[in-house]
Amino acid sequence: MRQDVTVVQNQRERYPGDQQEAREKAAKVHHVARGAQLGVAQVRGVLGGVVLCDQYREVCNGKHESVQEREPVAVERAGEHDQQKSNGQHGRQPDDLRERFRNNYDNDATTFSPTGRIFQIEYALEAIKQGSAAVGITSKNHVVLVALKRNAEELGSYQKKIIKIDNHMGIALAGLAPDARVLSNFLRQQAMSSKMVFNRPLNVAKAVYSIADKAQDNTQSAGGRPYGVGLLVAGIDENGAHLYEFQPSGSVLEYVGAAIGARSQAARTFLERKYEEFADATKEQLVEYALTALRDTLSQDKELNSLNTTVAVVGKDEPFTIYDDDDVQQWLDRLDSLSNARNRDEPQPEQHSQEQTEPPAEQPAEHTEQADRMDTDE
Amino acid sequence: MNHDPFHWGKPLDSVYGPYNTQIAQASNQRPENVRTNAEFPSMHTQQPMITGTSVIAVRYKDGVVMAADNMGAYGSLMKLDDVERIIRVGSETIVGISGDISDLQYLERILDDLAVEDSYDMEQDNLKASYVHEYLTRVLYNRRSKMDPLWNACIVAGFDEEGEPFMKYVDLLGVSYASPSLATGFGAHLAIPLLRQKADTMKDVEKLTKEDAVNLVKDCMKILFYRDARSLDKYTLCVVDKTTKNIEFHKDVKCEDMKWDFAKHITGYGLPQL
Repeated sequence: MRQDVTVVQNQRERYPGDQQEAREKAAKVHHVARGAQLGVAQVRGVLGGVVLCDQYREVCNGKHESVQEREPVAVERAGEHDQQKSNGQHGRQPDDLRERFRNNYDNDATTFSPTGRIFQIEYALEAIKQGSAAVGITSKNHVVLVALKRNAEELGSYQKKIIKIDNHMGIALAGLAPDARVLSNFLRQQAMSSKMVFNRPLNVAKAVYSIADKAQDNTQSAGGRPYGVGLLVAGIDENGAHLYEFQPSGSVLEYVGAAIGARSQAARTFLERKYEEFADATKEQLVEYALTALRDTLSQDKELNSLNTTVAVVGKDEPFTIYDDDDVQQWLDRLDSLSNARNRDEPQPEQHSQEQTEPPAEQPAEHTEQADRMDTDE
Repeated sequence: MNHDPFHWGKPLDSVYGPYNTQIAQASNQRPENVRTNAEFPSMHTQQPMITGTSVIAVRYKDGVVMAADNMGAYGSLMKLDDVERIIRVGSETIVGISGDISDLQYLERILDDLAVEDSYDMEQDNLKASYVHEYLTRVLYNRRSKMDPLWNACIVAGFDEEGEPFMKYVDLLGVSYASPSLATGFGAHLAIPLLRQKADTMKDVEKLTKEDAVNLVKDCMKILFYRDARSLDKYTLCVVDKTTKNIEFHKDVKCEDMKWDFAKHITGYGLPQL
């Protein structure tokens, strides 16, 4: 019981600026926390982090989720740490406790949290990180997409990562492949209809905004879910070479180089170092850069090979071409090494420092399922 | 065999039963209890009403010259004398339309919608003449396939994707072709031979200057006014020019240097001449 009281005091200290009402509500925490149900150890385990706040929120009937979200990120991280230690314990807790930890603002994609976030969309963005990496780069006359394919099991086939839309356009995906198929079918229809009605290759910006609008619809109507896939859309049109990143939130941005999917931060770090050389690069150089970036996303003891690597190129006078299996070997041969530099014990101080300075991403509140996550973080 | 022309091509009722009006989406059936001869498949425009006559156009080395007069004829009556039959679509395309004027107005509206829609999501103008032409071809062919044609023949001119001059024909059947000299309606008979004297092949076109092309078209408009009873001596003349990247519109151009002395010798049409 004494521990519980400390918790409440901690809350007061941490949020000195909070409303009077919030303080009063906070004072109730220890009553509800019911020391009898929650062992002292449990309360301590969740002390610094998210779980405490969830509990607190539940007490306040959802009105004070803000407390959790105002928590400095560093503290949230500490919470994660605690959680990992006590993960086993969580599993043994009674259901009503688990109920307590639930986020009340992620039941559908149409509900804002009091701080203006829409959790379902953020979860959708997380789904992209579950998929293997895809990298895209543009020069003045070419766009290159490369991606790392995964196979579910040794005897299974590899997941298709790059889809051709039309002679001048294609996409690379990371996340839920079926969602990408739906989007790519839609894009193909758009491209065909543009060809049929206007004898005009579909404008890349127009194409990517058309799927962005579809994605946005899903964030404003109940009963659906956002797309769980991120796309890199590569294409050539009357305005030149384009590379767009599409997100389930409906946001679309154009890039000279972009990477999505698992450990893509490593690829981005490489791209950020080299991007000035992209504009005038030849097609071959562009593929080299892209594969090097992709190589950086490899996990330990993995390397690029003709089975797990896919390359696609589209150019001003060159139709969108996908290189798979044996055809991809010619591109792999251009690399000095097929494995990740970090895995080869070569010190890469530049990269490490970059990753450390990267601001920790704001995580959605639900961390209790951490254990079943795939290893996706950089 | 029933020799009544009304029944030509129809299977005999006595052998095959009554004509099934459900065929071909017959929509103008009378109610069940009223049995009449009107049980036909649905019918649409069988003829144009108020019409515009020829549109003529010719390529020259830097572009296209196009002309169409301002008349709207109701049969042989000059119902309207201020119809603008060359319409702008976006900033790079003009469409000269002959045939039914109400269908012209419909085309004008859908082409305007097209330009508006195009400018919604694009910052620069992306509606090239070639796109407009393809779109028109699809619209006209689609309507003819519904047995409900838009009763027009059009010439689309302007700049294509490469910024080069573009000129192509499309009509109510969706038939489409390009040639250095184009004309619709009566002009296809009267103006084409004259146009081809100067611009038969692209080789001729290379030699044709803007001034010559304009004079050629003005000449043809005059000939058409002489010989086409549904034409007017007031017309619009447009010049698509690659060097200036511009489309000139000259409205209310009049046929000049005409000689009508011969007219008094013409006899035999309607009342005898004095």
